[in-house]
Amino acid sequence: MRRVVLHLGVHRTGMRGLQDRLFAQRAALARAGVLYPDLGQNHAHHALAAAWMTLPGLSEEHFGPEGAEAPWRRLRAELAAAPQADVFLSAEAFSRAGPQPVDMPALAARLRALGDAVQVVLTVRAQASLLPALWLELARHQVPPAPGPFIARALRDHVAAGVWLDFNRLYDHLLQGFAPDEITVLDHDTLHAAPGGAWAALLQIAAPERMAELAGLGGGDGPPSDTDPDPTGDAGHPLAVLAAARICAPAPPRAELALRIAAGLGRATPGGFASQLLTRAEDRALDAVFAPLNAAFQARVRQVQPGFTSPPLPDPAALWREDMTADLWASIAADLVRRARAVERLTDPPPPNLPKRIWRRILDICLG
Amino acid sequence: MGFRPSAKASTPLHVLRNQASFLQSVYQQIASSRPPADWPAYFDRVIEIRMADGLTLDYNRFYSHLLTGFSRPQIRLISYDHATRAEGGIIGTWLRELDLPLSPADLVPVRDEDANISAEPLATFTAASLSQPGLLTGTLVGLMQEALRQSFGPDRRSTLFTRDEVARLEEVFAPMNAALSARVALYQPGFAMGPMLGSGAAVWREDLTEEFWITTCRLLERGAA
Repeated sequence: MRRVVLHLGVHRTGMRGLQDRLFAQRAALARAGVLYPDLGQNHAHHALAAAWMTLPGLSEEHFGPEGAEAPWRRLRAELAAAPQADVFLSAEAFSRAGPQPVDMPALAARLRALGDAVQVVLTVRAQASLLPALWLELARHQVPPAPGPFIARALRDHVAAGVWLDFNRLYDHLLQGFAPDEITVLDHDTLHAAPGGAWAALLQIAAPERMAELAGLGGGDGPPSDTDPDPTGDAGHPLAVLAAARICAPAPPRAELALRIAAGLGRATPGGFASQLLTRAEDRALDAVFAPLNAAFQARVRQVQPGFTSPPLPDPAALWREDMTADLWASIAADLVRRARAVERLTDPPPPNLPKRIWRRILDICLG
Repeated sequence: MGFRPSAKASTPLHVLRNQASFLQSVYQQIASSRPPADWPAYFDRVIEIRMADGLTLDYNRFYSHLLTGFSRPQIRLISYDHATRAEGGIIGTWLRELDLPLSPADLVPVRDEDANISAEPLATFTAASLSQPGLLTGTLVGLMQEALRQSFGPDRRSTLFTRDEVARLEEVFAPMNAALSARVALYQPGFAMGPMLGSGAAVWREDLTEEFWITTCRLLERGAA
């Protein structure tokens, strides 16, 4: 009996890191009887959603003469080679509200045609942390929208960057194709705080009888240690990225500048530096709008998942958007001066073979 | 201070500047040679002791000191602020006080490179603040002048003070200046100090908004500081 598991988001719930790890462990997973298909382009399976929506960077020409059916054909071919294996698919594109939502009955039909049992896994996250995370995602490659209007639209439409913020609407959408007991809802924070992290929790759903073989493969949930820190990632600081965006405008914010600003703000903020894109008033407004919706969502999910609890509110930030005063900007400017002078003292650019992380560390030491 | 030549004795000519402009100028001089002290504490101390870097801001004290060596009729006080507005400016005023049969036009103009032109006070102030605990650089002062220009427009005179600080200076020193005018009235009728901060300012320290600092950060990112 083949089980088909689709992990479909939502965006910014640690999906990318999991996809990278799943992809890296494809061979080990396959040996344990779980296929994590390689559909090209990236480590996820967004291409499958192209049958219903326009995906950034994936034009019709990308798929060749077969069009958006090409990735489905490739998937079926990979599965045909391992008829007994379960299959794990991961793509947050399937949970999007826009630009076009996926046709859920059609998706469900296709997944059921692949195996004997289908399980959809949805990860949700408190809107007060999801919304800034979505904004950071926009800032990754483009000039991000002004936070105030972005958040005001989210409060009005309950959608941000094409992602549903009212999980009831997303749940309704999923229920068009899947039965309630085919849908498992997980909370992002609970998931990542659990023993073994999201990796273990998802494998428990995807392949519970193979957990003993697979649990050791995942490692931590954080990014691989050899990658540069990502200021737009969950470990990043929205206000540092916002500051970089305002400095770099009209160009997109530079990651290395955001990192420098974050380092400076970290030094200047006693008691730690956790920043929040929202203002305190926006945070209260979000809570007023979404707390009742989340409570309703929790009640619905509990009918099939008795233990489910709504995503908890994030910890209060040390620095909110309204704290970006002239004084704080002056401290950012001072830090840029200090760093420029430190670089000047070190005279030359880093040796070509010196990793950027080491160079940054040297600068941090010089800056105290 | 200068001395007017006389057949009988020397006459000290002393140019006095309103305390706000004088303090601002002293601060700029300090900042260009060493990292200045923290401003709010420095300002409070100046108000308390009426001195800035060893220079008195209570001109009565200075006048009393002059009187230990000169008689009242010998001493001539000049208001810098009024002199700069008088015909021929400060040079014209000096020439008249010295009874020299010259006008400023008769003098060789100072070359631009020799002129002692101060940077915008707020450019010096912000450059010094950003440079703490180090010393400001000419490049950074120039960058801050450009940030002021982009933020507030060209030819907008700035001051390192807030409006409240100048009000405090006015409150403390205006009565002292009035007392000085009264002391010299017999020999220099009509002498008065100029207004606090002279011709005033268009951009004050509290006008440096978030947008100004963002502009500064942009300029810093584009060029060396």
